Amino acid sequence: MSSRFDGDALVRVEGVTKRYGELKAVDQIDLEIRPGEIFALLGPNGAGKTTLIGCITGLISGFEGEIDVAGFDVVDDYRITRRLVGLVPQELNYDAFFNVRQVLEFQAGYFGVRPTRERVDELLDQFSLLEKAEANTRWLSGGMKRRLMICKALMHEPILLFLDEPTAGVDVDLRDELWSYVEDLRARGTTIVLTTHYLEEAEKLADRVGIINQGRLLRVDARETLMDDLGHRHLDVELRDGNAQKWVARLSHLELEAVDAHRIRLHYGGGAECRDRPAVDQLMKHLVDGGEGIEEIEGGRSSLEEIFRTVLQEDTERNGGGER
Amino acid sequence: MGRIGLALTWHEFVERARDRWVLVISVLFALLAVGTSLYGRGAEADVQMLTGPSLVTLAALFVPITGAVLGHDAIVGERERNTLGLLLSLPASRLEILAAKFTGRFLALALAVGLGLGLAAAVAGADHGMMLFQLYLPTLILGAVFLSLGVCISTFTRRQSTAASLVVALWFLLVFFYDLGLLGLLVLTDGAVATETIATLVFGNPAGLYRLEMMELFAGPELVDDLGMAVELPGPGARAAIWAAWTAIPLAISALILTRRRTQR
Repeated sequence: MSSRFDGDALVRVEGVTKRYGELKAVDQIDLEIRPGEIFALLGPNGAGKTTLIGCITGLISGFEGEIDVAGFDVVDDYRITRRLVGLVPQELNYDAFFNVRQVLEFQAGYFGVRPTRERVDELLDQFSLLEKAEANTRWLSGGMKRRLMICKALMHEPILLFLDEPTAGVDVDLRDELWSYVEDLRARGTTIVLTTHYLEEAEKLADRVGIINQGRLLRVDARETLMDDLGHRHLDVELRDGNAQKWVARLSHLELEAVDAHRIRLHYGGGAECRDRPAVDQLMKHLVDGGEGIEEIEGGRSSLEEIFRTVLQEDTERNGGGER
Repeated sequence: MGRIGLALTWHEFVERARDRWVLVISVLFALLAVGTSLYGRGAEADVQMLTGPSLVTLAALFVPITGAVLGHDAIVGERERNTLGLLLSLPASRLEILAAKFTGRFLALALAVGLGLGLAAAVAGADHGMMLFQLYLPTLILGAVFLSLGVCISTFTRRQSTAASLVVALWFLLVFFYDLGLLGLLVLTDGAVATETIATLVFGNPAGLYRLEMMELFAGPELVDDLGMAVELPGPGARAAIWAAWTAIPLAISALILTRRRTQR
């Protein structure tokens, strides 16, 4: 048993395929997750996100390919890799026979860690559960149960945390609190892999994003790269004199539209074009040179959700949306 | 078993010791055992001829159902609570997890049986108490067999309610209907089936073997003759093998199912 950890990839997934009969739940996936990053794995329902996470964490066995965590093989060295990993699954669960504190103490024992009162209190405090420490888990609200599951996953201080839809059924305030703790964890060096349906959260938090569909990993990139490459920007200019149509006709070489009589919208792409902004420069130069009075300028860009949809749509067009 | 296995075992023990069905059956068993013991004492009856055999009958009814109930949700319960995947993704082998499940529940069974028989022995007084306490280990082994069967059922059923139904059906089959079936077989075949065959079939049933072993303990080796059976009880080695097989085979099947399963959902 030896580690092949080279410091670049905390998780290395190579050629992983998981079949259920004829169905390939994940199909030839190669992926690297870097130490200390927040990696968002995005995909529609049934895309293979949970299956991939299951293969890495040991929930699912019998897959083809290789997965290493910190250089240790998740099959051969499972006793090591599973201690390095914390998992918050999608499904809510609770231990009806025990109170919150006992649940966390048992959880530490499951990873061979001696539970200390300080560690339990620290976690409960961070997730606003300290007042419920002696309450039976059965009587916790859904949000509290979700937070307790995160506490459980963190009890043995994993270096890699998987959050599978952690904010499902959690109210807005708690979601913010939770994400703030995730950022705090990242700041302390924990690597985080998350799946979420709230793409605006992934957009805010993730360093890198992987988009998975029908078991295939379609794209993996830094969030900014993805948004620059695949996203579009627009610039709305509100004109004082209501000449929107005139400018659209005059600047037909630009991707310009009249939103109403007073407002024009310039669409321009991402990537190098986005950074150099020649279209913006051209538009502004024409407006200023033409003596157009400008009331207001407002910029906007594609959201991660729009990019996500674009990638999925392109994949569906390329490969069809049929059965796997 | 390492620290993780011990933590799992302790969790299982504490959890099962709080299970209300196990508590109800255990308390009922304890009350009836104490009642039997008190009755025997009040009647100044011979512990070997009244209290002991009565307790054996009681234990032969209660301990198998306690063991089976303890085992029935070991795996399927986790599946229904959506915790099986998490459990099997702990840094322990599946065999360790199964062993911890069995051991923790066995300890809860030992506590329940110990409570019932211990109280009965205490009530019987110093003279007879030790005699009654000889029941403990064999009774525990009987419970372990049914616990093992319960665990096995819990590995291949998809729903806890199905597992519960199956363990109750198994209990009825082995504890009640098995001997009736053999009796029916004798009647239907008009004695054509050899007595040895019938005896072997009785010894092959853990509940039957337990009753005969314990009756022999209290009434002596001539009991089988007194019952009109022209056969002898198997020797200690053969009995140990029967008990070991009944405990180990269901556990081995459980281990096989659990280790071959590729997805824990």
